Formats: sequence, structure tokens, C-alpha cells
Amino acid sequence: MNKPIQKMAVRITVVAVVILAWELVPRMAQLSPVVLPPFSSAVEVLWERALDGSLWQGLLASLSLLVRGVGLGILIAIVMTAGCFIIPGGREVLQTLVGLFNPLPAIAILPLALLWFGFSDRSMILVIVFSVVWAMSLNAYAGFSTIRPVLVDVGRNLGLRGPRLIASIYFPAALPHLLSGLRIGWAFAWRTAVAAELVYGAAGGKGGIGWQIYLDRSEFNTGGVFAGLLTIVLVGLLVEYGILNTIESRTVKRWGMVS
Amino acid sequence: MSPRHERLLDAPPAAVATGSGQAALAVRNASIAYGPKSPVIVDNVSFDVNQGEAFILIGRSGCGKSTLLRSLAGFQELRSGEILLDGKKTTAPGPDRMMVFQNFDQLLPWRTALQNVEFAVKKSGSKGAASPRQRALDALEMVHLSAAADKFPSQLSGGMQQRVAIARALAVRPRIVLMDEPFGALDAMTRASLQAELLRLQKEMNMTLVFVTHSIEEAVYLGGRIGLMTPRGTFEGIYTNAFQGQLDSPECAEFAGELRTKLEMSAA
Repeated sequence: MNKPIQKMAVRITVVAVVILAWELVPRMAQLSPVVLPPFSSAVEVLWERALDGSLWQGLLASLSLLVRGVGLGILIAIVMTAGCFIIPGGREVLQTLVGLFNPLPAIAILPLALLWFGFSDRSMILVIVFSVVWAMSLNAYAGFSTIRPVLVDVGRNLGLRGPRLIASIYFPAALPHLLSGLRIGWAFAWRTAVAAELVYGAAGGKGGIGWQIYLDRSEFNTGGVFAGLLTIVLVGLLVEYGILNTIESRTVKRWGMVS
Repeated sequence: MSPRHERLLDAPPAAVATGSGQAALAVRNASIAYGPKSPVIVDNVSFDVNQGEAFILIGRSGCGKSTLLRSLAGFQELRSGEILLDGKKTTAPGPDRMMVFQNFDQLLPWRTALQNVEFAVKKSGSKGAASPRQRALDALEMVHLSAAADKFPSQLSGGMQQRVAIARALAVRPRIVLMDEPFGALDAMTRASLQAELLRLQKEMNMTLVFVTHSIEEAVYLGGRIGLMTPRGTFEGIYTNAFQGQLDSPECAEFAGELRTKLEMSAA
């Protein structure tokens, strides 16, 4: 038996044990479903919501905010970092900014965003952008500053300077770092988006996954709360393994830039 | 000259003798230092490189030969003096002086061999009758790498990566090719075959080449003239080599021995 199969077997076993315990413990201990409903009732709620469409509506609301926020955040981070590499002294500016704002949890910006933009998509997007931009900048900075000098020389040799040098040499050379920045940034953003909805309700107007959990809690629908948590985990896994790993194996892994 | 070489060379004035007697590259009283107060690495050197000539810069490590080459490429500023390409002063890097570096990692890892060459042709803005892709294919064929065109650099051996780098430099049709110990990290057999290939290309294309090495054998095999640098960043002398392309004749070995003695004396 080889290593990857063994690892896979361990993972599947762990997941199975967690699910089994979740199913059996509430039944054997005869816990009230308000405290801890078994796995099957959470799945049941999830199934119902998938059929009546409310699951997809919630997901769509959360994910559309997320995609816009993360996209904008990445764009700002890359433009900002690239700019700081072109302008003399810019690196210090960038490092200082990241140092100041990176420790600040993005969710702490939400009250401010609500004061500025009210209960609107814009507030949520601001918070999500904030959650992405510093992690992304940090990684873009690491990627740009660890680039092999000879690749920069190759670009300069061809007469490339400034933005053209950044776009055709720095950017692809930093892709392994940019992807890990995306990984971290996405995880921050997803947590932040759910947390924002949970704490402040449907800040975006249309209720997302977090908002649904919030409603379920107020109705003592613990099965619904668990259905929401399951959705968050599943979306996280899908993005991590389905999307990000695929991008990685088709780019930086294929090119031999990471092992 | 085969048709594919003509196509690579069809842009005037690349690698075409001007006939005016003017040197392709002229270095005048060049001094180089890394900072305004740091000691000079290259000290007031002057030399010409003629059209179609293979000019070797040889010296021990730290003698400033690579630094001098980098300044020819425009990567390293001069403290004083000037570098003239066809009589015109150069300062910034440009595709009229294509560099081949020592390290294998000089190819863009996210592009295939063919894409690396094609990228250089496109970005250099070098115009020609053939498409950039066709020129890239021709250049790869010249270094016998057509079969590896679609491989990524991580899938190529060190020798193959250096060939792609040479193809990339040639495909751009530079006025002059600069090489910084490109075979220094290769095993002996691969090095010998690439040296032979480079000499063939240099002759066929009438390529103007400045080649940095610390190997006397390599210098004598490849060089038309050999500039011997002292550890003080000056020239001990510039020697015309009558043995270019020859291997192991007694006269050739004697000449190499003389150069070796001079190199050792200059360090004393």
C-alpha cells in the first residue's frame, strides 16, 4: 500500500468517525434536538433547503459578495504591491501599511463600514476587501522580492521596464506566492463574510448563509444551524480542493515552480 | 549559409559587416565600481570588438570580467568612460545586446522552450519577415532542440536549457551576443559539444560575440581574440588566437601554456 492511499484512508476514516459519533451520541444520550440534533437531521434540513431553493439563494448571496470582494481585494493588493516595487522607497511604504493593518481583524471594520455605507452590499464588500488585501499584499511582496534576479535581467535585456516588466516577469514568477496569498485571503474572506452576517444580520440586504444561521438560532432550529455550518465547511472544501488545487496543479506545479 | 540562417539574419545591420572599419563594440576608458566610494573593479579598460569576431574575456574569479560583461549589457553603470555600439553610446539594457547567463535558471519556468524564445522575439520588438513563432522554431532547430520545443524548462537538462537560452539570444537578432560562462556549470562532455556548436553558429552567422570564461581551453577553442584580465581589473594583454576551433595540436597547447603563465604572472 503506498503513501497517498494510506493518507486518504486515514482521512476518510476520521470523517466517518466524526459523522458516526455525531449521529450516535445524540441518539444514545437522548439529547434534545434543540441541543444537538443527529447528523441525519442536519442533512435532512440541508436537503429540504436544497429542494426548496433557499440553500442556493443563500449561497448565491454569500458567494456573489465574496467573489466581488475577493476579486477587488486581489486587484488592489497586486496593483498596490506592484506600484510599491516600481516607485523608489515604495517597499517601505507597503511594509508599514501591511504592518499596521494586517493585525486588524477585518470584522472590526464592519461598524465603520456600516456607518459609511449603511446596510448595503458595499459595506460587506469593504470588509471582505479588507480581509483579503493585506494577506495578499504580504504574499505578493514575498513573491516579488524573492524573484530570481536573473529573470529580471532577462526581462530588462529585452528592453522591458516598469509595468511591462512587472506584468511579464514579476507577476508570473510570483505566482506560487500569489496563489498561497489567494488561499489565505480566500479563507479570511469566507470566515469574515459569514461572521459579518452572523453578527450584524443581513448586512447585504439579501440574506446569505450566515444570516440563515442567525435566523435558525433565533427560532431554536438547531438542525438548521448545523445545516448552515455544514454548508460553510463544504464550500470551504470545494474552493480549497476543487478550485485552488486545480489552479495550482495546472500552473505552478506543471511548470515545476513548486513541488 | 542555409536558408534558415538567412532568415534569422535578414534584419540589417545585425551581423552584417558595415565595411566602414568601425568596431561593432568599442569600450573607451571604462571604469566600474559598485558605489561612489567603493574601490574600482574594472580600471580604465579600452578595447574594440570587431564585426563577426569572438572576443573572449578571461581571468580569475573576481577580476571583473563578469562585471565588465554586465556593463556591456547595460546592467551595470560605468563610473567613467563609455561603451559604443556601432559608434553610438549605450547605457540601458536592450535587445541589441543579448545576454546568455551562466545559470540554468535563466529560462522563464512558466513558458515552454518554444514560448521562451517566442516571448523574447515578441518583447524585443525585433521585426522580420517570418512570424515570431517561426523565428523561434528556426532558432530552436539551429541548436537541435526542435523535439523539445513544447517542454517546460523544468523538464530539460542543464545543457538543453543553455541551448534554449542561446536560441533565445540568437532569435532576437542582436547586434552582439554576450555570454557569461554559459557552459561553466555543465559536465565536461556536454560542455565540449556545446562549445563546438557555438563555434559553428558563430562562424555560420558571422556572429559578434563577447564570451566570458575562466577556462583557458575554452578561450583558445572559441576565441578569435583573447583579452586577459588581471586581478586589478585591467588588461594584461589582448592576444590574437591562431588556434580557434582546434583541439590539442602541440602549437595550440603551447599557446594555451603561454596564456596560463601570463595569467599566473598577472596575479602575482
